[in-house]
Amino acid sequence: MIHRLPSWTGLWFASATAASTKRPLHHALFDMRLGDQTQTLTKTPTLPCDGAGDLTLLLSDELLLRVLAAVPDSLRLPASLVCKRWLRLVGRLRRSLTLLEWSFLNTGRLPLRFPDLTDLDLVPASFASPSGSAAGAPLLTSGPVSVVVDTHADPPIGDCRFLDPDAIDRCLEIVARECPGLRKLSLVAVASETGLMAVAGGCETLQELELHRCSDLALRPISVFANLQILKLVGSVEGLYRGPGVTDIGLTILGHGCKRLVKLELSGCEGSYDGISAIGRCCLMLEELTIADHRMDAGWMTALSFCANLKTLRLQNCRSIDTDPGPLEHLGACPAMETLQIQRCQLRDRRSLQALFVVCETIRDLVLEDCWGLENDLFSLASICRRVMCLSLKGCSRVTTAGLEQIVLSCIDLQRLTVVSCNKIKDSEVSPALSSRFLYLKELKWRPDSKSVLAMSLMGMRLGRKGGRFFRRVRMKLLLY
Amino acid sequence: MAKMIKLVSGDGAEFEVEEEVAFQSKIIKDIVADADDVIPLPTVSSKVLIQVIEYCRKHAAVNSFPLSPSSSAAAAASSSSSISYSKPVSDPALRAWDNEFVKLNNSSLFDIVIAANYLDIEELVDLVLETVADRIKGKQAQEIRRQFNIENDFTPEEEEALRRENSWAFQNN
Repeated sequence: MIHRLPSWTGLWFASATAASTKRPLHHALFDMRLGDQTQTLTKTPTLPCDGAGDLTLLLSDELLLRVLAAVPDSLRLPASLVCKRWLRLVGRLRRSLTLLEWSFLNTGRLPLRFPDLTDLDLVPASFASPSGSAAGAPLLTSGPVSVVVDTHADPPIGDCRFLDPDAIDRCLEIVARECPGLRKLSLVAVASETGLMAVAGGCETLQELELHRCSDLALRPISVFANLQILKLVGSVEGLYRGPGVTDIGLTILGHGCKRLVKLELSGCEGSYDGISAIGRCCLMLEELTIADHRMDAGWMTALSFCANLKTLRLQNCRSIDTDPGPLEHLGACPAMETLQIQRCQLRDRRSLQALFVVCETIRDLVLEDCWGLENDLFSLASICRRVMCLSLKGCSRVTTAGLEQIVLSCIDLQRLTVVSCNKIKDSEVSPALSSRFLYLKELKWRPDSKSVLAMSLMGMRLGRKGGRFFRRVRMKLLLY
Repeated sequence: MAKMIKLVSGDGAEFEVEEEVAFQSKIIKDIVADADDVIPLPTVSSKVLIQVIEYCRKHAAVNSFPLSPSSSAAAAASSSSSISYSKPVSDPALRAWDNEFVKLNNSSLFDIVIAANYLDIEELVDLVLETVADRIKGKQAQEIRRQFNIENDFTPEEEEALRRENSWAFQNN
């Protein structure tokens, strides 16, 4: 069957032939591509190989690299052991590395094996393994970090030992020399400036930094990182280490030094209104702030309104939000706030939760996950945030259906609702008013308990005592699992 | 009357194909053959050229006469993105055809990918490279070597040192 050509192709073809300058290009292109071929061929390229030799030698490095890139990360390791060429190519594909042993840096093999690293995590390698630890010593894991516990130390946990600051500095100098293309670096901070200064000088594209066991002193050189946009500071970790930590001094140094900061995470840090307001006033581009396990003084929340561009606020693992937020009239709302996520926090204090919602009045997206102490009357405070469009409730086991209903009905813009593992919310208690509100949602994820009987109810059956049609042929995405 | 282009393989065989079939190759499309419309391809054998033309014919047919509105919409949507891999084949029937097409031994596959790379037929290059990747996935080093006849140029000590390095020096997800 002959395919008729569309007429425009004919036109293009005709106009192209008019340009006789194309001719030399024709030959040049072929010559170039031929040259490219012959470099990597061991046999005459026109004839198919006889199968006795290495087939992959027929592929250029570029093509073989593409093959290896199509193999998922987790399955790529065996490929690196095939031969030296494959080792080199697989190494080039590796972008992120978590170092477990410091001595590997000293061997000089890092740039040989992984020349194109953009993400390096030195934290696990920075813990000093206890001397003479017996095999079978317990392993303490906190989050992503695991440490061998020295059962002879006093105390055995809570104060783990790190490598010598000199050793850390020396290795940071190696990293600065050998990984110039780094974008993200995670390390254990030391009080001296040499290491960080070296990294700032050697890794000009560094955008993201994680400083563990951070202290005010360690933050002094932070201003040398000209392009820093994402920063995470870990001051102390319960059960692993407690240091001098980060206080208002460190936060002020940070504010003045990193004016381009877009995302900031403060974990286990101290501080107060002064520190937060310094950050708010100086880091004008700050969009995302995460406060985890904080030890901040009362009244810090009032300073949040200085963060004029803050879009996302995340509170994680906090025992309290703010022990004394001050009078409500002194609290300003963050003008650009869009998302509030509260995860694994204790929410028993009415005043601080109310203050939080006042500061986050403009949010569209509210996530409450695994928060304990959240009763109906506290949850009802969320109605302060009138513009909520997406509400997600996970693992809040004290909120009842009535409490949920109150909020859902008050958020007139609500479009997406997620309710997962909230044991006091029962299908049978969903009132007609609530079920008809569900009809106007664009997306509903409903699994308040593990035995979801809602699936059966959805087939047109009635819900609640009076009930109403729960499911309608309106375009609504309903996810049940 | 459809414009025909003549392709001459390395061993001298001539193949006349419709222009739009030949234009699946970006190289041919860019290089405008003028008066004689004959394009010599000295590095491509007849056997391989026949297979490549078969692929191009199938894909030209789909590209100019989309079989379903969804495939043309998907093609239109993905043509605006600039990624290193070409747009994925959206039409399930075409994908099935492609999967049959690549049921070849390694030697033939490699010949095809080299020719397709030379002629700059992105979709065919991607198809073959992904097929080769599938043949590597999940295999141990020795199996991979056996499959492609690759010589192990590590000494036993080097290989052992590498395995040790892989296990203690850094994390492997």
